[in-house]
Amino acid sequence: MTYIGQFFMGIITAMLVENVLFTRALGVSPLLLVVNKSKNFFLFGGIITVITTVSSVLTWAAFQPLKRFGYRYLFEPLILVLLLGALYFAAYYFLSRAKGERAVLIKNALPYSVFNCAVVGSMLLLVHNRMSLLSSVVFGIGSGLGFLLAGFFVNEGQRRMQQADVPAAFRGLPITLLYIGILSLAFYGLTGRILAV
Amino acid sequence: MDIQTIRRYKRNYSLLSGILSNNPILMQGLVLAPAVVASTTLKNGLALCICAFVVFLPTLFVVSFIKGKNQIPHFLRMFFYALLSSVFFIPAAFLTKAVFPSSVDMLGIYMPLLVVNTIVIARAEAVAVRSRPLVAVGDAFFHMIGFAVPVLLAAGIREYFSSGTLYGVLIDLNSRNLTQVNLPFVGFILFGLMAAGAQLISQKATPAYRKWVNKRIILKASAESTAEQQSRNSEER
Repeated sequence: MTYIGQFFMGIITAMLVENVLFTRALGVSPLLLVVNKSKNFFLFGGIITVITTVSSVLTWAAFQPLKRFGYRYLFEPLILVLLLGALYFAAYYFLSRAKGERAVLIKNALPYSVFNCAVVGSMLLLVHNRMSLLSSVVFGIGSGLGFLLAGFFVNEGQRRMQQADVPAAFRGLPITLLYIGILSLAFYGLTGRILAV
Repeated sequence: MDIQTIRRYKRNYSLLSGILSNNPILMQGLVLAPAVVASTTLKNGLALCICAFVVFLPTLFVVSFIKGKNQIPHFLRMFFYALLSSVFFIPAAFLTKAVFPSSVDMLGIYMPLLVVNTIVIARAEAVAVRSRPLVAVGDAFFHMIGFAVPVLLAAGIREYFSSGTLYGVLIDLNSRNLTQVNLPFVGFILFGLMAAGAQLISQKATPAYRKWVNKRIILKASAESTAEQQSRNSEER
């Protein structure tokens, strides 16, 4: 029971306290590209959650022998891209065999949801923080769900801002960035931290 | 109207648009993750820019050779761009570590993140796969300047307010040391304000540039027509 409790606490921590978007700014650019279409966005977020979960196990396993390699930081992205590439090709192969509209939709969204900052950034964090296998998986699930949550907030914010009277210079990207900034400050406060004055 | 002149102005405009009207960070919202979090001091910002230059320019140069019959299938492209960038990241990280050893540790995960950034995909798909290598590199260069200017500006502002220094040199002795400006939310708000400024300038500057181009073309066309008339007159005589 304690393990289940810790598991869910870990996921909630990764979702809220260490939110991918609001506390680390990972995946802002891909989010801004897809967030306007809410249907596509939930598909995108769902794929990212699955990818971060599976790749967290793969990344943990791949970086175990490289723990003491001095020049690891030079090759980290290359190893990660190759790992994610293998995962991408496996998923693409299975999806091209499957039939139906949904499989085609997922197949089209797959390249953008595998090779983006949210996935690669989470995996790099996992490697840099030297997490254990279980905490890697929990972090992977939490990161994906955190991205979905952040996307939901930004989507809702953008929908409301479309109806508001925003000055011409602020329309579009600037107001969204300010909105994300204020939400990021709110998440900073949510964890109980106070700004020193 | 001289079609050659119009084409030349259009080409120059699209090349230079990376700096302002098509700025990768402020107008398109690309490469935001490293820009928002890592631009905390001028040294970090400069390290990020050097790394980005060494990763992006060669990647887009190589991509510009692959076109026509050799075109890569659509599902392979993203993987190919990421793989190419991660190969060029090795010398880039080596160079950055040699120039700014402490900044590489401070940038942490945000330097390796450059390999999967949206700017490579955006510029590769928009320009590099359909242009000559020199044009692709020129386009990438101006977009990189468009990336470097806001990053360095934000880095300077944040360094000044957090420690009262600029590039490690003490400027303000009475600085209040607002260390919280290094948090991501300040980065978001700063880039949001800069994006609004860029949008405002671009909204004013683009029509002015078009007007100037039209004026130049009309002047040139009228000069050509008078020269033609003069030559015709002299032939008649």
